[in-house]
Amino acid sequence: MSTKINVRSPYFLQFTEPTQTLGVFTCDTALLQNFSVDSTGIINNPNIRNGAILDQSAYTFSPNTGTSVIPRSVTYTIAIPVNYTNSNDSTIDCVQTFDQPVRPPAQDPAQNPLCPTYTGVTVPDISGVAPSSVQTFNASQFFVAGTDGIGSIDVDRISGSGSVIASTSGTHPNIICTIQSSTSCVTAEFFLIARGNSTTCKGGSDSFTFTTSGCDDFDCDDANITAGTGRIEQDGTVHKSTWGLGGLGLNKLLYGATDITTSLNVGANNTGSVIPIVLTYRFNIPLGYTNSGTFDCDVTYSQPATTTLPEFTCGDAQITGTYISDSGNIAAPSLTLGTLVSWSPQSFLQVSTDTPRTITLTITPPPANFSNSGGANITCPVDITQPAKQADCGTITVFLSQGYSSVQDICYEQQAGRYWQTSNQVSTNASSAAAARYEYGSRMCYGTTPVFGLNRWYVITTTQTTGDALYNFYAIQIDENGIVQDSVIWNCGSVTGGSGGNI
Amino acid sequence: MALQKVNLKLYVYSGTSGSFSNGDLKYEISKDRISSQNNIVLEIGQLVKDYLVTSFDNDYIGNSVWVSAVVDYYEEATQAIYESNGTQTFTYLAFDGYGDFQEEINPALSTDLLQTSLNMYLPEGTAGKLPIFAEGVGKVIIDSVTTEITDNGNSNQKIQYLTIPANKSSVQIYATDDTTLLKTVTVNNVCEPKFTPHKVTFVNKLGTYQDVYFFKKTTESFNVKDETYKRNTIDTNTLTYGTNEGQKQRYNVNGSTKITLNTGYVKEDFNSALEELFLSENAWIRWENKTLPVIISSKDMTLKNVLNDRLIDYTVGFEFAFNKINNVR
Repeated sequence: MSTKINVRSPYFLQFTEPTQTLGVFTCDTALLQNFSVDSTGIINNPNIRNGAILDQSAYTFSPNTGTSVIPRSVTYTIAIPVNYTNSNDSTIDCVQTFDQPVRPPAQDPAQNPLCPTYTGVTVPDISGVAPSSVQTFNASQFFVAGTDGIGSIDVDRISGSGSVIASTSGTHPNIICTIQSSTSCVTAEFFLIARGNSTTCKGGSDSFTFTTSGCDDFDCDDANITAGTGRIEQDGTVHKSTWGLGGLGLNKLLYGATDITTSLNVGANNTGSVIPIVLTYRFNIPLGYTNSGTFDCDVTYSQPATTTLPEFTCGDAQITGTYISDSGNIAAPSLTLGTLVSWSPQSFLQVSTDTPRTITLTITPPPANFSNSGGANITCPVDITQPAKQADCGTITVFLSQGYSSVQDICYEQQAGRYWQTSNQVSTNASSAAAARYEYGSRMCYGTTPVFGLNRWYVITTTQTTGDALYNFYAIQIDENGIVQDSVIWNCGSVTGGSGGNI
Repeated sequence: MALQKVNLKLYVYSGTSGSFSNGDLKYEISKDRISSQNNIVLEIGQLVKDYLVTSFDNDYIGNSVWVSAVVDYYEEATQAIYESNGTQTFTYLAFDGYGDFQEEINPALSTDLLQTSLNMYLPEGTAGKLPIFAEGVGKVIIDSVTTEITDNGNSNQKIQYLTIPANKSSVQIYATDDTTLLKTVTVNNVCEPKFTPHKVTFVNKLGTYQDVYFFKKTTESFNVKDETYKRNTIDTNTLTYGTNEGQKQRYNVNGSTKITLNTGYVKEDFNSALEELFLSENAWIRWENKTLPVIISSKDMTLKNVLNDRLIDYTVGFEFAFNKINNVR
């Protein structure tokens, strides 16, 4: 609806600095670095310069027991930050590749007596667990120590829901694995990996699964095909319906037994009268249901006998690019069809947290080819999130390493012969570069985007450098908003996990 | 990075939204940001008002106009237009309306019915007009007859005047979803066998033409203004002067007509219509089959209510907005 001005009263326009879009976010923009896969199949996830990793296609690979390297690739799903022209796409997939080296005899439990070895006893699956119920078992029982003993046993994810959290604690032979999830009907697959006290040799178990209860069968109600959407033209052209379940993939679209997924045509109706056409939507059943495979949902359409013009609707307009700046200004969206007349409201107030908004667009139908061409404007609500006002990222420059699940992981890396590297330049609003190493509550940003820290630990230095974890280093824990939540001075010494403490 | 200034080009035009050309450019304004502030504020209502022409000849034509503000944002560091989103266009639809003080800044007012009163009074057997905002109304039902409301995007279709056929009793106004009833206007058909009702049309608070019928007694009065000068009538040849020739001569004689009208009994809800009539800058009366401009000469109005006054009627004085003698030059 047009914004009205009543000119006998004043009407004020308020202008603020326009939001600068940052172009198209690509994998080059994300700048994934230092991805690798070791000979035992462990994936070292890459550091990311912009955006945040949401998911990955693989969490581990098999050990390379052959005689030549194996090319490995992992597809990372990355959240696109705001202010990019394709921010509305939400995510982008970026593939990382690495040649997995051949496992040397020293890392082969079968050839190296120092190595811990897997007993071969199957780690039992854990299924039907009530959400938030904590499950524990002794992980040590599945391994036999080599002459080097067992320094640690980790539980590593192979696949599945990120809502399942697994960790280990204690010392061999009483290393306890703890697994839980607060979400109903989720599944994740893990395996255990044991490391010696001082060697880089590792032994891995078979995989096991963890599933929470609360699942039911997938059916058409879950698919939630939207009534009134989709149609079939007289010439047989099929316009598919939309469905409400996000992420649900269509396996095939069938007309009888004929696959029309690609052709999207059922043939012309020359009968002289309207005929009912039943199309079958064959969906891939998503994770989280007790059934699997595919599921068919039938939808009946009426195919007209004569060419009738469709009504121009919001879906036909193909609205893209609607955007609210962190100042609350609304950028004009793009339409594939129709003419944008106005939008309402014209702007929003600034917000301190991301806030869902609805903008109502008034659109004039195209002048021809629709039943309502030349008729009244239509209004289309667009739901979009207004980002919080730009975070204070400061101007102090410091450097971060890749993220570690715990400080102890830095020590394990050291024991594996890898030094930490602070290769990522970030800016912070800490009072100084030195203070940034221990100042709680300060914010770390890649450029102007807060570091999506996932509560991981990062080695922090005031210059870009590489260090041996046997010596003192600073590490900070960063949350999803880039805020420093904890900090320690640590050194790994000669003891697994090292020593250190809160600053 | 900070905002240095904005350059605003203000286009005022008719037609469809965004269809402005260089000829529609009315104002160019540049304003620097005050260093202590993050924004720049400009007022455009008064500027647009100059180009919102009000003209009425009993024809009820919508008089809204489009206003497009094309804004160039300049960056302080480069003193150039921002690379991204550096130029933005904001489009508005301007009405000759006003907001009350209590309605706060930038009043948008109603987006469906474009008059405040939900009662209207028509002489029996007479059709009426009801202003609506076409973008906000899907359909109207007059008694039981449904009329779909559409517009073609042109500014002259944004305000539409529904014709209410004679002797109807209600108008129901629905939202664009055609199901949500927004307002119901009650049409009161008045039988007035004694006096001749007079229709006064004025620009109301929402910037549309609204009719008010004055059903009761009409009083017409007339006043004259003139000037005189003294003249010399002596015939110096005969040294006489005629006694039939005046020593004083009248000139610049003209007169203006005033009328006093009475509404007859109305409901309390109709107070708003009278109040807006008093606050209107433009009013016309249908008088002897012509539409003539009038100025409201009454300056005081006591708002009546049924508690204090039981029956409500109003007497309003008007003055024709022209001289009796045609001296239009």
